[in-house]
Amino acid sequence: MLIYILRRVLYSIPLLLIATFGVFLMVSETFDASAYLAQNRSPETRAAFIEKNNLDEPVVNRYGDWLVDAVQGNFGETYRSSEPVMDEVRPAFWNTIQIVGWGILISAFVAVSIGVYSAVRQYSISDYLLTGLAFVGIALPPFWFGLIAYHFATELAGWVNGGEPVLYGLGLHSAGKDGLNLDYARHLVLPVMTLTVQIIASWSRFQRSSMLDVLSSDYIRTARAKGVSRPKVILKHGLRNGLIPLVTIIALDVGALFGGLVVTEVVFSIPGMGRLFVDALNNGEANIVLAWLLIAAFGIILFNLLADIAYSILDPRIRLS
Amino acid sequence: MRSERALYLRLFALICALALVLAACGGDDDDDDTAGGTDDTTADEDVPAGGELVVGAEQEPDCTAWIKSCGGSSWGYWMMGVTTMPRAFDTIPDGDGWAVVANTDLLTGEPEVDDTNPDKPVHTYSINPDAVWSDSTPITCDDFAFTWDAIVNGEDIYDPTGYTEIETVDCPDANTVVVTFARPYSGWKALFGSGFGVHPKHILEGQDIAEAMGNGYDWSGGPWIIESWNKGVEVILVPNDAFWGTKPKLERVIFKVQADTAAEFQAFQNREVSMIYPQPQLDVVDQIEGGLEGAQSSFSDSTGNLEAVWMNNAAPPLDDVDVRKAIAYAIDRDAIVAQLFGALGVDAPMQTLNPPILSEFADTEAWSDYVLDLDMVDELMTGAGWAKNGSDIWEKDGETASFTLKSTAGNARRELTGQILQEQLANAGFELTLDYQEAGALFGEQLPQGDFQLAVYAQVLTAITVGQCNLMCTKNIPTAENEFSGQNWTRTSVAEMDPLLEELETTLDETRQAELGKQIDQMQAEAQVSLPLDPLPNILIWSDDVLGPVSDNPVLGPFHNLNLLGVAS
Amino acid sequence: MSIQPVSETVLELGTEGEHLLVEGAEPRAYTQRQLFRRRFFRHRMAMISLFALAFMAFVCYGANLVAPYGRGEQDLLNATQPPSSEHWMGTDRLGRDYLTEILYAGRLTLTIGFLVALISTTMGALMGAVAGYRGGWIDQVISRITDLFLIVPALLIAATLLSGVRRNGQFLWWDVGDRLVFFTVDIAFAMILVIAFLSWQYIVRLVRAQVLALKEREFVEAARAAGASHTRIIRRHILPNCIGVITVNATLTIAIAIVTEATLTFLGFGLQPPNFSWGYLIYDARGTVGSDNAYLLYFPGLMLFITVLSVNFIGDGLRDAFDPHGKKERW
Repeated sequence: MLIYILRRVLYSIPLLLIATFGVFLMVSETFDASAYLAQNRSPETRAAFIEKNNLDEPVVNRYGDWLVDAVQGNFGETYRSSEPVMDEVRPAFWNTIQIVGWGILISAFVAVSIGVYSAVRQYSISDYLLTGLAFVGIALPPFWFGLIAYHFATELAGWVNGGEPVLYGLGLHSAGKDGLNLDYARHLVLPVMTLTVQIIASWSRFQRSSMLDVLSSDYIRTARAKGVSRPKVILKHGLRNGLIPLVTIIALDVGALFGGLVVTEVVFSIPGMGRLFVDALNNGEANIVLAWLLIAAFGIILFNLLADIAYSILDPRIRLS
Repeated sequence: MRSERALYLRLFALICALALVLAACGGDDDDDDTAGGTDDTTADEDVPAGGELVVGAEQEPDCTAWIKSCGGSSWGYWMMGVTTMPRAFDTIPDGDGWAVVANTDLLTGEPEVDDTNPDKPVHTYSINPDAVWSDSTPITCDDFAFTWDAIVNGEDIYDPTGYTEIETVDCPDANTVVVTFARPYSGWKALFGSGFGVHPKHILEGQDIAEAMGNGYDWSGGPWIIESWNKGVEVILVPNDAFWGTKPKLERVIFKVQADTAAEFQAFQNREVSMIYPQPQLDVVDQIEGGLEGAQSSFSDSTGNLEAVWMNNAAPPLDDVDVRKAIAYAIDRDAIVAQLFGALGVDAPMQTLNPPILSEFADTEAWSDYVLDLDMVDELMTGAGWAKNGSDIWEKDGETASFTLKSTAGNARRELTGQILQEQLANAGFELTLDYQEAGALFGEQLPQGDFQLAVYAQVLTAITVGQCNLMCTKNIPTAENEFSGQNWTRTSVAEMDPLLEELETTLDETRQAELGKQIDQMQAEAQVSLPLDPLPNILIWSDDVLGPVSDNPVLGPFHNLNLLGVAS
Repeated sequence: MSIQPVSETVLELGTEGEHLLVEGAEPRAYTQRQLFRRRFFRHRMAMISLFALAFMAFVCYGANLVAPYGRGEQDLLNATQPPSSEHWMGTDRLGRDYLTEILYAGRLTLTIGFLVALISTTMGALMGAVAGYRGGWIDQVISRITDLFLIVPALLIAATLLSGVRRNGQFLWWDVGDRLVFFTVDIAFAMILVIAFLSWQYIVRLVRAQVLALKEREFVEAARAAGASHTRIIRRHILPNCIGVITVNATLTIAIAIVTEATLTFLGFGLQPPNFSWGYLIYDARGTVGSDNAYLLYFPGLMLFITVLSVNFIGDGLRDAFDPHGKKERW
């Protein structure tokens, strides 16, 4: 198992090199980080900025410098404020993890529940209803849904709470507050909903379909014939096998999560990785974009690995070679 | 605990809100222009003590080391600079315009100007003996000298213009600052003030200012002190106990950082913030027009902003003054301004290339002849050898009068302006293509390198400095020789105007400054170097919970008098 | 053309979903194609969606015939009016009829969706087929490239590439001497290329897997034994059997492409005037949340939603039609 993991990681390294170089090239060539100083009355300011950040050196040199530093764990400094990149990335990452973490947990739980329920009650009215909702959910553009949800939350506040907000759409905590409390929860509802509505919809469809497969298989019938109670059969035997395809899907969908993440953070002003990326791109901060890319790629690789491992645990017939 | 007074305040606020709604429903939105009028520097006894104010912040500075290039952020300065840094001058309303006067917290009065030697004026500042830093060390002349030194000798300074004209800063005693200039500099009142302020020598000496101040600092020379700056999330200010002037009533002010104007407005509607200072985007204008419940708005069109249709005077066919004039006569600026800002009561376009805060030094009617006049367009174009072709577009020597208009991407108001211009110019026989560019590329490369024909963007002045030579003098045209660092992007070159612009840079006599300003404006209008459009009003919106003399200041921002504000409990 | 002897009129569904033989029924023969069509037509939602999508395409591409007003007719005095009998969807900020604008904007949205699906499916299917069939180093190379694109978040690459296009409307690759421009593109075209460029990796994987499975089947061996060339085998035996996977995936790609374009535009990296799409209209209206002008936000979003929903149902119907052994969905 360990060898497998090691092999996968090593194999990803050349890919990462190519990807980072390509992105560095693109960002450096298409964004001028010093442009914001162009309207400054003193042209020396812009020249000094370029000099300080080595922006006039050839791209290949700059990439080389970055690579040498990165391997030692130093991801460089931002151009504008000369802050270590990791100082910018760490808090953003933590904020994003909160949304993503809650998102995946809630999505998985809800999707599995809906999927199992739908499969067990196939062709019932609730099944049709849920499937219909799932189709609707998949078709909803997340950013539009987020805006509409925020709109309704605002209107709701007007009717229900006399103007005081019910759900918040600005950041993760109210002004000056902190910690895991009701205020936090009220801030989380809208962004997490926006992020997960599409995911829950598609995962639940998937889960339903795989549960149906499992429930009609022979060994389930055998178990029932042997007298094992229905709930036990479903939960103990059915679910275990039914989860396998979902696990693979979760891993593959992590990449898709990034898209929804960026939009959610922009709409709800959450200072996370998504917004960091958009701001960095617009300001030409190549170092932040590269750090971002590495983290994203790392996350995807990690999730794929976890999926494979989980797969092998859930299905003892699979052996990782 | 509801006190009686709070109840009355609530009732009062409710009546105001009701009045506002009724007014809005009634038709024209009549918002107060607080540009002139109320003396906003007296404490209001009806403002209760205590409480917390939450303000929406549309932008966040890259750092708070004000003199460094990363600290050149207007929002940053308004939030944390104005509130914590002592400054020598204030900009206050004066009749219809603005005047720059000495800040009476830091100085005891107007500085003395000694121009016995007119080539080397000497200004003497007298520091208020009560002025102290938050650690109770007095603010002295040493701090002025230190600030000047840090700016002219430091690295990576945001804009040392003006400070480099100073020859020496002498300290005959702790409270007297004698500044001798090497050359007369007409913008001397902006020094030791807006944008930079005075820095404490005893705290910063020997340190790397970018490091020591960059991420917020725990000292102050103003009414507030920075308690914390959680990047991307919020800035928290608390009262500075050592402040010798009018102490704040609020317990805390929190600036919540938002993604953009749209998010800001949503947060305000949802009561998550009580005050916002949004860009004059159309959504904002629409919302104000529709009436704000439980909130008030004030806009000011007397700002340091000027949006114009800038023309590249060196790009054919725009190098022909008649073509430039024809374009000016083809555009109905009144309609544009009415469409974009009519709801705020801004109905007249700008008629000078000086922003409103410089109206004393400008001819505010210089462009008033340029109204929609299609006959003039025909006259000018045919006179210049153009004729309309089969598609009704002007053509000469096989080339059609087709222009590209560039502007910043992602700005709904500019996109709308572009579309209106496109239609208006099409009616007059010009073909306009719209090209929206990312701000960095536009300002960083294309405009300096002359890679444009027409462009819509704004000039923003952060202090009342009258000189426009950097923008209009022939010598400042960006070329390959000066590595395109000149700022005269419009490539304006009017020979008679250059000496006047130079003189304006160095005259200290304000009457002469006004004279020169007017002449220059008239010359620019005659040569139609560019077409002024609108003043980009500043809009301030606050909920009725916020009490006190809320007001905006074109140079110091809307938070300049936070120490006088309070919130209803 | 093989004949399947089993038809629907012979069987009916029992109480637990199993098939029961109807007494006295006569079996009738159907061709593959006819069976496919019958299965598709039975999928009610897919049929409805097909009509809806066709209608949508018709009114958008034929907007100059259908739209109540001319394109881009500004009427500054009537700006931002809510829906009324004269303007069914109200007017926008320049007084243009919103319905008209939405119809014209639909052209770009639908075109981007279709073209992206077309390009990425064609490319992906070809690469997947070659990789699966040939194996060896070609397979290795293609698989590694595919992995590269799976590792990197597509949105990041798309945003960066598109920003390069926004600037000067060109792709800037290298500064050689004085700005050697690689090629000049229009931003809508660039979006199509970029999104297609980032969508093909899923199809490659699917087709490759399918081809790998088919390669071992008897009819392929038989064909090879009979002396058929590789090209002929791919063309006549393998690809036709992949059609199912390819088509279903193509329809889903349409939906994803449409939403991706809207998302990129929403973040500011996509289309700008004078190019409108539904995504752009939503982006433009994002500040209307909480105000009376929120209808500017609803309508384009609704159009997007209906289009994507229809495409998804059609994809579902196709999937059912191609795979009779799958579970029966009653829609």
